[in-house]
Amino acid sequence: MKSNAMPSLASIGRFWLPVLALVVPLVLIVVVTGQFGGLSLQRTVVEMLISIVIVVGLYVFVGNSGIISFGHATFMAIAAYGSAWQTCCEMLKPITMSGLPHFLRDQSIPLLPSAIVSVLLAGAAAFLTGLVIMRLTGLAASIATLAVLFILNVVYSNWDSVTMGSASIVGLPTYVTAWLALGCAVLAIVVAYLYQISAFGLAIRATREDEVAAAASGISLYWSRLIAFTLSGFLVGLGGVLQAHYLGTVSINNFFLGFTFLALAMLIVGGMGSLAGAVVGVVVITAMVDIFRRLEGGISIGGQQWSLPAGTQELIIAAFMLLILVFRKDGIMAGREIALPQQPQREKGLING
Amino acid sequence: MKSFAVAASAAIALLLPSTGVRAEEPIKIGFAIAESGWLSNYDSAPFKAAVMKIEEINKAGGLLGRQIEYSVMDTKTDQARAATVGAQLVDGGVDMLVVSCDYDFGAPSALAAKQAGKIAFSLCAADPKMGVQGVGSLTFTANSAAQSEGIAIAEYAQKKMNLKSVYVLEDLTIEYNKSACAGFRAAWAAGGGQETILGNDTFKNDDPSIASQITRLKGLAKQPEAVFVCSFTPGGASAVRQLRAAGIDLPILANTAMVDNYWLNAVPGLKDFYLPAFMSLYGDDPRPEMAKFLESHKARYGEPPVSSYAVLGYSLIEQWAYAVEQAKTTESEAVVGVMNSFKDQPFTAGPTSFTDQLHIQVDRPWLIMKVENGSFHAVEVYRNSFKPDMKLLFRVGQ
Repeated sequence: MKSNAMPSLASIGRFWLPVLALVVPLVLIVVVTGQFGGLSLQRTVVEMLISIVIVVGLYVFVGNSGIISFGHATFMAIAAYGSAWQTCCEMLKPITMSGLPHFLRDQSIPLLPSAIVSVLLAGAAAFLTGLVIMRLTGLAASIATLAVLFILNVVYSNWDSVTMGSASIVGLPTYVTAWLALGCAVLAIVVAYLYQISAFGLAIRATREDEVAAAASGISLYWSRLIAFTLSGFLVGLGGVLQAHYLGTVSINNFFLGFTFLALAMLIVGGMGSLAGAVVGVVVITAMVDIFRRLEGGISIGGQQWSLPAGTQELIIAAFMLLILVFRKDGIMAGREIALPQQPQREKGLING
Repeated sequence: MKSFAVAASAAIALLLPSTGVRAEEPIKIGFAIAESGWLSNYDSAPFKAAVMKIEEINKAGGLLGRQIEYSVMDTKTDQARAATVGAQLVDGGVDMLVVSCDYDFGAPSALAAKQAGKIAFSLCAADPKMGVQGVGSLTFTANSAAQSEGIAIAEYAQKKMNLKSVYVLEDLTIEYNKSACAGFRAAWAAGGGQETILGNDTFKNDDPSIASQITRLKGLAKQPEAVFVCSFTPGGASAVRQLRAAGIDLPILANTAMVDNYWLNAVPGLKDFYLPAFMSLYGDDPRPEMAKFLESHKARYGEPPVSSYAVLGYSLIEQWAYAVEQAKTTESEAVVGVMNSFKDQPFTAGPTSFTDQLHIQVDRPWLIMKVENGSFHAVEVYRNSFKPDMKLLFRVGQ
């Protein structure tokens, strides 16, 4: 009895190891900073966890399909605005967002249902755009996602009666705590992991390595990518809702090129070939940004006040990314998951071609 | 000075857990403002002036017998940073939080103050949403509504300059311009009739050329007597230059963001250019309190303020300190109660009124200025009589 249970426990452990190796350190970070960190550090950790949700969402499509998407900020924006319409500022809504339908304009919707509806909205939007874009391959698909981003940006910046145009919507309830963000990050990691080891995940990873061979093996490029794109839209939408309710403000300018490139940079630095890469990229970039931001703010060493000139942080981050791209072009994790020694070898053939 | 303030802020944020307030403890003001990024151009001048006022109060014995300490943290012109920095300062136990000069970037910090039940005061946001309706009943701004700029210059043009018709050129890049233009159109139509606005056109601040707009303006059946440009630099300066280069010598009316001499090199020989301003930095302001402010600023920093927005920061501290004195406490609700009762209360920036619905100025007198011989010159102080209603202030249905 016991001898039967042990191996199955070990195999369960092995199965979940790539997830646990990511989740456990995150839990530790939250616990330790919650106990000993200052407010600033705690907030940085929440921002990091939200970024993990977003970048893991991005990874589900970009990492598995190998197609760079510039358009995922679109689904974040759709979810964030969706949630803002449902929960924001009852007093101001009838005045500034007069174009909303009555059931949204004159009342607020409870937080949980509104969050779920917003995430579904983002997923639906991803599915609908995916229906068209996933017919394209490679670079054409990437450019098409960029076009989607521009379309949304222009529409939302000018749809004054509903989105308040380029102004910020301020006053969303801020309910996002470190534990909630952690829960969502874990959920995103688990979903991404289960997807990538499922038959659908294997199929799309095969298309990434060799489109022709995958198609010849009976894999539909279109459907496998559409599934990844839609799932990725859901997760990124979750990130959008979290961000909106963490900051308390939503502004279309935050869902444009600056953000898109930062999220992609996180993914590429970590290594877009693996889930671990997505998470590690976020942690590394967030940590670097935070450290240099503190140095810019000034620290005292042995009674001496000492600070870096403003703007150093951006320069150093840029230099760091360049170094990664030059010397380790597959990112820090180089397409590997964190696993016991024999596992990477077994999957290596598939993952790294 | 700056690094000292940053060090002080870091020390306060890290070292001081919230303890009970005793009489001898200093009063704390936090500044969650942009010290880097584009918004720092707008935040820095009023911030320096606010510091000057704090030092003046301390020198005169403090507020309620307590000294005022301030700490400043950089939002880096980033909304997420603004929220974090605001929360940190509030956590450090500030009595009042000063936030950035812009609704979009100041509101996240103001929200943090609101959650802690503290007053947030924006240096110079010109959006009425920086107040009761947009953030909450503890949020104020030291500036006038952008609509009031447009209203003042529209009325002044009709009543004092006797202009009968106008053409409106609107920069759609930021909300501020749209509000100023909305105010202008409403006041102009109220004074001279809708039909005397001969045309409206739009552009974007980063448009390299407004040639097509100029062509349409020149092609009007009846030429207007003036052009109102609601924009900001650099795009606004470029638009003015192109209008003049195209031979349009009509008087140009503009909004406050185009004030101060720094951009006049871009349009050599510019004249017949009018706008409403807070004050004159060039020594010809008719109001003695402005001359005094200018003198103190020169004495403190060795130079006049780089922008006339500075006086708003000075006046912000003045207004809050006055209310604290009247309320005999820094407790938010009591101070807000006093502030809401201000009715044309005289302060350096001008008469100031707040109500429980409106935490922004709608008819504070403007100094009308014109450009001549390569510099802005004060013309006269003008107070608009047309007051924007709530619909205009929040631009409902426009």
